[in-house]
Amino acid sequence: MPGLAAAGWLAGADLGFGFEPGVEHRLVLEAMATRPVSSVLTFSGFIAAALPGFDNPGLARYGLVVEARRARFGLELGLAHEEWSSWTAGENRALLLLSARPARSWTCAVGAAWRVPVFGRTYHSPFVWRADAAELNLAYRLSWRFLSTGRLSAAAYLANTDRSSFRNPQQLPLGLVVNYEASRWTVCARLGTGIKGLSSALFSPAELDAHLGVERGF
Amino acid sequence: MGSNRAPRLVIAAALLLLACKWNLTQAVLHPTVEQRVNECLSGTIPWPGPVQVNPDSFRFAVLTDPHFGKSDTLDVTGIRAEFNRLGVDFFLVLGDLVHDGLADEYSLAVAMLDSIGLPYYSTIGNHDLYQADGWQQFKERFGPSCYVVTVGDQLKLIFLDTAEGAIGPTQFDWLDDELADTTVTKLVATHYPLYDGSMPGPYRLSSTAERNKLQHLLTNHHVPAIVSGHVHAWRHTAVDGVDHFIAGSMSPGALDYGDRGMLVFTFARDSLAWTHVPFPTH
Repeated sequence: MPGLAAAGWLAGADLGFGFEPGVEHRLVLEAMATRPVSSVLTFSGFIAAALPGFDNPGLARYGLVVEARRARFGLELGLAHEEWSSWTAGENRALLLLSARPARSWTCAVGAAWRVPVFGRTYHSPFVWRADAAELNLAYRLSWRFLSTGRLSAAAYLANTDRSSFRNPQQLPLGLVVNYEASRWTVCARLGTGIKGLSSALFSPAELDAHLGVERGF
Repeated sequence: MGSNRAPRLVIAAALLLLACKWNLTQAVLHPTVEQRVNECLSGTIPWPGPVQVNPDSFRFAVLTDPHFGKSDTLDVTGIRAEFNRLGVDFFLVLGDLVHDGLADEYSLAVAMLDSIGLPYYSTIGNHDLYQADGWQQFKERFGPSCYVVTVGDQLKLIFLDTAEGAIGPTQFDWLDDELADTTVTKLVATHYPLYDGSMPGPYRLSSTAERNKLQHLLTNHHVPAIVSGHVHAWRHTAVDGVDHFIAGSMSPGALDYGDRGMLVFTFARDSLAWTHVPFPTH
């Protein structure tokens, strides 16, 4: 999060296009804000809408994240609600992640997510936290910054969760992130894919996830 | 230096062993679900016809994951006796018919399943594709992996190919069309489940969006139940008016996770009743 140490608030917007052939293509506009409340503790919030003209338009997700960070270690607790309006499907999610930075260019995190699918009339409710189909999933985030030259940095990631979204762990979402810093602004681009269908020795990449966003410190 | 090399050597050795056991080029070069489904829907693979049953009331069992090759000690006599006791008319086998996708295993699977002595329908699982010619072997011995059969003119069994944990665009479109039929009761049968309880394992359809879309189709088209395997355990999960079943594995020995058994459905006058029947433990 460039600029965060120097600034109080960090605000950002992200436009993401997700494409799974035959399943969903979605254009999502997301707004986020982050506020450090001490040298250790940071609060973040996000809200996203899926734009008309694509699948499942309307509210896409919202949530809160609390992060405690000390030296190379961090603890992240998140609550999120996500939904797919046309399918009257939603998910409430609690995420706990332990993160570490073993080296300057490496970040890794591992944890668990309690995921509660909600369907039908209650799909938009953020208050349903038990269901027959609820499941506990592995959460992971591994990132390697392989380029860092002045304003430009680039990293490769393997992660099934960022702040706001969550993929099934067996999808193995992976990709590249490029950040360009200009004054208090940072432009972020992300291009990713995932393994659609992994079991033992069968896998086939068949999806696309492309994002372009900006962040600004205040 | 030596300690740095050790993990790499272990990984290389493990990959080599896997390459010997499974054809690893198959991991990326196998026919995709899209290719298999297109083949199944093109008419080049004959679809099995409906079994003859009493249309007013019939009974069928759902078995899954026999993994022939890994487990060649299937208690055919016991299963046959159980089928006779329950009055089962036919049965389904929901994938992972063989363990390593080998031709010999496929031959064994056909011999064992045929010896039960009742008509059966099957679909494909991930293990069935573990060799370069896995799909070829499967379709030659068992027919299509994605098809429909209507039993007694009243129950439409829709078999989905989820051998890679994915459904794919063509199969989704086809499924939507098949589910639109309002004149019959519909049951979806496949290998991968949508949900597998709270286990943190990779034993469900890969994509969250795909799961949600499938669940929406099932609910929207009033499908009472979807049955699957893959997990080697017995599960029943109710989601938005749809019963999700995972039948316990047929596999004895190392692949028995403690829930060996089968599901038995009874269809009578538009209603579908179910019971889980554990296999006898010897």
